[in-house]
Amino acid sequence: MIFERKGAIKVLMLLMIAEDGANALDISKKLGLPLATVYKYLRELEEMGLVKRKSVGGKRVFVSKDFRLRIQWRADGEELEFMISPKNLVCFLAMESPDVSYFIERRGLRKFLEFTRLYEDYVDGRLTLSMMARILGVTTMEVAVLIDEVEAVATV
Amino acid sequence: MQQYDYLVADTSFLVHLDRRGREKLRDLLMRILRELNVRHEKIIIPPVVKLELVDQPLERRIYLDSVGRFQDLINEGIIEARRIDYGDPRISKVSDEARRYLAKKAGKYEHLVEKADIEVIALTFNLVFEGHSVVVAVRDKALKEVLQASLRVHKLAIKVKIFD
Repeated sequence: MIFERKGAIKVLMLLMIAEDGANALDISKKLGLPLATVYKYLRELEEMGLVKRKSVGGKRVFVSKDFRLRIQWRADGEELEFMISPKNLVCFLAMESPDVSYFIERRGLRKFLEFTRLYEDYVDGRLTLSMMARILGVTTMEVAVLIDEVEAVATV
Repeated sequence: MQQYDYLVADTSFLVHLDRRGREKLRDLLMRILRELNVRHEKIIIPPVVKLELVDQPLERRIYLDSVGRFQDLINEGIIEARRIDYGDPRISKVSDEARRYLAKKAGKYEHLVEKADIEVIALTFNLVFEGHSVVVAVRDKALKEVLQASLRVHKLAIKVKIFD
């Protein structure tokens, strides 16, 4: 199974957060994987329907397809359900940063998961920061800090 | 290089600079104003941005270091909160158009759109109608798109530069 190979997951996650996709050479350099291995993972991810080839700015790159993973998670007697998609994956990658941890500690994990859901609409230009803050019942500053932290992860 | 009279900023831009800048916030803002060739060396914000940067966090006691820095810059006059003249029918018209456009983009969130959400846009047009040229610094994606659409409709792209 492809998901037994950590490298393949890393390739998929990189493509999920790379807005304009990436070619095999870029992926190889960023992840420190041999080029031949990257091509193998990309072929397998294509066959699974998780990535596809695309032309971006005249260059041929790989991009992740739009898919959603529904996660059901029981923690401390509480049942949580949330979605991970290419658009909001960066939110989860940012969870260990100090400011995101502070938000979760202060506002709770459920509130943060609601943020990850709204983040997809934010990325699509359907919500402003202040609208997100009103929906979440938090201050605009808190949302601005969260988004800044998430976007910093996305650019690494 | 074109000179602009004012720089108008939204909350997301100022929060980003405060968190990301390797320099002191004050020095970073002054450097940006110089690099953008802004005549009046100050950042103009609408009332709602001051609320979001200073008043709300103070009330909830969060991010107090950032709040302190923004308050100092407001006290120093480097950041200035300016009221919007909604008495000008042109401003009311632009605000209503921008709000409708945002509501249309917001879809299921349409009922959540408030006048305050587009104050940065209203302030920008306020300054332009007063005869000024403006740089607008905004990282909020929805706001940026609504601003771009408003500038196209009113053919004001030449007087306004969007900076992120």
